[in-house]
Amino acid sequence: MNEADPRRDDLTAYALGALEPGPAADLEEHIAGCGACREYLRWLRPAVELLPASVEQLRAPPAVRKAVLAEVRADAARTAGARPRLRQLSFGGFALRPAMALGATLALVVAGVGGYLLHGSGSGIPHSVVGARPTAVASPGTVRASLERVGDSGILVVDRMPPLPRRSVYEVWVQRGDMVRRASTFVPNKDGTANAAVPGPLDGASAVLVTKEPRGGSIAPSTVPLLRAPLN
Amino acid sequence: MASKLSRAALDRLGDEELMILVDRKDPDAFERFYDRHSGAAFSLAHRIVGDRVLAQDVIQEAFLSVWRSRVPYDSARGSVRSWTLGIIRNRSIDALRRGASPTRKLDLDDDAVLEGRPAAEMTDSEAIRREMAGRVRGVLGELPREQSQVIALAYFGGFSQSEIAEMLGAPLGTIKGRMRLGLEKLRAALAESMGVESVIEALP
Repeated sequence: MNEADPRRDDLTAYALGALEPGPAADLEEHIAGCGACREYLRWLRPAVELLPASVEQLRAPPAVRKAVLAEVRADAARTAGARPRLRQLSFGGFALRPAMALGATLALVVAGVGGYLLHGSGSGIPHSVVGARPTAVASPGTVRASLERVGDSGILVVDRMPPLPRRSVYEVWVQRGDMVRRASTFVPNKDGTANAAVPGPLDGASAVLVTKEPRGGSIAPSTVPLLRAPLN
Repeated sequence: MASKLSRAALDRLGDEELMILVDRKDPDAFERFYDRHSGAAFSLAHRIVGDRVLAQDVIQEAFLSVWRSRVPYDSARGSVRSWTLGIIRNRSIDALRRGASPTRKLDLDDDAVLEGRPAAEMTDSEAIRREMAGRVRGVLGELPREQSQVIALAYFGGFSQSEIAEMLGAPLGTIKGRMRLGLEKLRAALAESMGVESVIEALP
């Protein structure tokens, strides 16, 4: 964008929230089709985002915390009992056969079936880790993953995960027999690492799976799992 | 959904991973989210509305709106911290416009109001926030006064360009120019003197 471009004035005001509603709407329409303006806004954004960091830093009053969390707990208690929905395991019509797994860009099967106990005392919460490695039939990959079980839930720790196409996420599922339940979604960091939450209950579950899904996740797996961590 | 992740496990999750659980109405995950960002949120609200009680109302309503929202956090709209503070800013400005506050702060020279209320015992996170605030203020202080003033009036005061022009008795074109020059200088100075990317990543 030319330095003399008068739109820079409006873009700056827009970034600071100081453009009147009418001109702001007109500018948004323009920005949608103008890469140079979008780039300029992207460049400015860190300066705007740092402004709140410049104010004197205070501690939020404990009374606010107590009030907010009381309402949150009350809301959660009202909705408790709504059980997570279980879906028939079908992977978007794919059966989990080796031939299909070969067609996937990557397939992993967890090898450390039994896992190992890290420690069971301290917090009193059982804590164990199941390791994973690529199988021989899969495309040779360097992905490393492990499921850390903490009590009746877990954290899936992955490393060297393949980067995702735009508008995609990895989705984590808990498998129980031939049914699956959504657990969480994640996007790996630039270095391929990620920690994904696997909320329980995991007791009685047979495996934790990871599939590639459209952004926002799917209500049922639509692709062959890239990763499987057996729990029993 | 009741959380089944332990406290230690939740602490290990990054902000974006935590928000997935918050979007799924996990109260324990929300508690972590609140604890990570409420200090910065309260500080910003207090700076904008200039009133401790009103700032409390603002953050209480804002955090509950996040909890009750059906619109999930979207990482394309910035970091969780920036997204949260954007909500806080908008609600603070709304509170000002409703006339809910007897005072309205107009410039960057009013930090003395806050100096009397330091956190009694700072946590590591609070200490980092304070150090960062000092560094960013240092960069802001390098700007010509008339430029930092219009930026503060816009961002912290919630005034439009036209309102600022009228308030300062200056032509609209002059205000526009000051705003742009100031923010461009700030962006360049941050990148040069602090390494802006690392600063943003360091925000606790």
